[in-house]
Amino acid sequence: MADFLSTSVSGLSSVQRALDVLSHNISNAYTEGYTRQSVTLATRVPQYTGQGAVGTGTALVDISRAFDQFLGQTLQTALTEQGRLQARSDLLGRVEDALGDDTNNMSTWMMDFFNAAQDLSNNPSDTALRTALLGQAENLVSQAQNLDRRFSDIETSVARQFSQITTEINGYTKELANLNASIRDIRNKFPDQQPNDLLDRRDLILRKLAENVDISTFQDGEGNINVTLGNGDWLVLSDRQNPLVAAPTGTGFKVLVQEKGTTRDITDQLAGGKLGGLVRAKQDVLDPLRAELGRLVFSFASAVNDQHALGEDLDGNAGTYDFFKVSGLPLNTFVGDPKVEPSASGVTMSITNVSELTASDFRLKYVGGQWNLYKVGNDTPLVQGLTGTYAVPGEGITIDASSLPATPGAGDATEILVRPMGGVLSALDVDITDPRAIAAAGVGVGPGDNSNIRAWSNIANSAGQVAGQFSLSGAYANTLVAFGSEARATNVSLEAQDLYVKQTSDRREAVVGVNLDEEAAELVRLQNHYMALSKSVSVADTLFQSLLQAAA
Amino acid sequence: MESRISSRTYFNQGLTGMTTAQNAIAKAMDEISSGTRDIRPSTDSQALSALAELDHKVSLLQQFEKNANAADERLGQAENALQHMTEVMMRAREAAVRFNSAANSDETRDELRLEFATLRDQMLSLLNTQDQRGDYIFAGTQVNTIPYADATSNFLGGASSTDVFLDVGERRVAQVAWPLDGFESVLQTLNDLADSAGPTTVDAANFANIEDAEDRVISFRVEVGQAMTAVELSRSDNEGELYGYLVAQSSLRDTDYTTAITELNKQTLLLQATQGTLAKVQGLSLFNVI
Repeated sequence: MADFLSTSVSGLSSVQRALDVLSHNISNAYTEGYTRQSVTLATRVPQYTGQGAVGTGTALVDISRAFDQFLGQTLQTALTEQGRLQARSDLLGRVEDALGDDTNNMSTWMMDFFNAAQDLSNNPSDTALRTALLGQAENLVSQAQNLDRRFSDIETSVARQFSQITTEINGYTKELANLNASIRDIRNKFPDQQPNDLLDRRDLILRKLAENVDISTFQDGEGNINVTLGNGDWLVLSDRQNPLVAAPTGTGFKVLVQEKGTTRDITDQLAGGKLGGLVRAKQDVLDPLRAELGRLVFSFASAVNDQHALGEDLDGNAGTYDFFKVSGLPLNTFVGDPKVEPSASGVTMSITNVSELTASDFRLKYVGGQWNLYKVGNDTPLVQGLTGTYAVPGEGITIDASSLPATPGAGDATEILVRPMGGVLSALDVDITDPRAIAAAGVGVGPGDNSNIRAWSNIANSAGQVAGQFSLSGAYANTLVAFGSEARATNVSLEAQDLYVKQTSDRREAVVGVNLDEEAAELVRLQNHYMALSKSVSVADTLFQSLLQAAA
Repeated sequence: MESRISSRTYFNQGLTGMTTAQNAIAKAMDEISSGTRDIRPSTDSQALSALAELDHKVSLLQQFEKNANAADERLGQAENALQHMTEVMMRAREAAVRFNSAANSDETRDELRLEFATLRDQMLSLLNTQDQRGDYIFAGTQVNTIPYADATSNFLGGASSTDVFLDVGERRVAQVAWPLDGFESVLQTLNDLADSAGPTTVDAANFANIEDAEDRVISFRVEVGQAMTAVELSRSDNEGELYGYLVAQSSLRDTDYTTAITELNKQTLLLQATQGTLAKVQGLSLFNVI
């Protein structure tokens, strides 16, 4: 009879344990990263008697969590791509806002400027109209500078975002290292038990990490999850983390990994996750866009200067001085470009052919004891062992490296970025202050002549102003369309990726998530089970009592 | 077998639907209240590109309209002055005819000399007409140089002065200023006749000078008239072209109310349905019945 009681009680305690697990499931139905847990019940070791093996009740042998390695891995990869597209789409959206709407943009500022020139052509001796033209020129310049400032603001906020994400990543890798340690400890102490909640947490952190950066994971023999970056640098090894360092640069940021006490720049190797998305979007979209618009403005200003030089001002002086300037320097001869990074590098650049100008950026790298010149985005050097000046074929610029140290000393830059058109928007200025100095007239025919200012309309309306083949408004439209298709492609991919992540996540949830109705049904079942077992205990008690009374 | 669905998925499903609908409603409302479509490079770069081209054309044509107005103003001033010159020349001819009349006494001749002096001064002042800026309108491009300093001087615009043109249409120009040279002899004639010690008869050469001046004025007036016609012609051409561009601009830029309102209604309905479903589904739980 004692066996009957203990058999029933074993069932009762197993069901109680199952109820504990069930209430844990219900409590965490909406907890991020939680996976459903379930109990495994088994029969206890039977008692072998002369009459046969008599069962001794139920034992709870395991509490396990629902788990799908494949869906988990798929989701993690999908999140990396979603993070990348999300960051890219956000950045492009901000660039799009900065560009201005269709009624107020670079194209309309240039039109307003040329219209003011036409107004002046109607009465070329009118100083009020001359002042108005200078006003429009100043407006164009300040709008270009505003646009550049908005781009810079985006760069600043991207840099801030970059360091935030890096901090976040370091937080995650720290937690992962700690989780690896805790999980290992528990497994050592209780070899038969699974630390389910810790495992859930570790999976969740991995997914969070994957959103931010492209990672690979592998599990070692001790059950640690080790994490490496897409390029192979390690982030988490057992219970140790390798923190990333975000360091600001002139116009942005770079990411460094630490390695044997030194640091190494891995910015260009980041391709996935939010971090990779930001790096790529800045390099592939924002920088080229800024250079394209810079080239447009430069071509415009240069064409105006060229035509201006052919005329004569209100006082009969030849207009051989510039109308526009860049960086306070004459436009067509030399640009002391502010976008050489680092600025104290000793590299200068000059514009040698405006009609050949491109939006390309260049990089000087100290490789194997010499300076090599690369076009950004191409790994084949344009020149190896550059020492003096070099006219880059088909790019309209000459790079002067003669002041570069032949062997960079400690603290000298070994990599120099030259962005010929990158700084034009911010550096453009009007070089004329006196309205009388606008050379509106042709040479030698008097202040009432408008032939030179009338010729400005050719700049506004004819093809061939930019890169020798596009009109100003055409070049602007092309830039806008190219940017637009890029932004559109990103948004479309993001939408598709969002859907894919949702579907993958839903499929995983279907396996690992808690369904409250299911738990409710289980609750009813366990309650019935519990009541049946209670009855067994009570019957065992009654039987025992009657036996006692009979014996008395 | 039907697959399980987690309660979390169940809940999020409705939430996502609501967010999507709310965004679509906000966009439609914005289009309706602003009257313009939200055209972004990422949503419709083709429209933006087309608009950039159209805006350029529209701006150009509107500028031509302004230029045409400026041309009209300048031509109007010239025509006005030239008309007065014709009148002055007619009066000079009449005075010259009367000057040669046998019935003239010394007294009436003096009166006529006075008339010649007046006409000389009027002609001089008309040739030296200045606009509101103080520019000499008949000096061609040398607008700061007085064309005829006095009745005996040469045209001072000189060889360096040229005609002035304005752009009033695509590949259309209108001349708005001419150096009005060749009036030296008529001014000289009027000056001679005004002189009390001058000739007592108007000779054939003097008549010829007056006639030549009359012809000159007329031919300039013809040119001014032709320029005005040219301005008018290009103005009407421009207006036609501009109208076409404005229509195209509007079709790209302005809200299509039918579509926007339909979209708003559709999305509102969708949002209501999603909200209702979410509320209902959330109320469904086995826990309510056990």
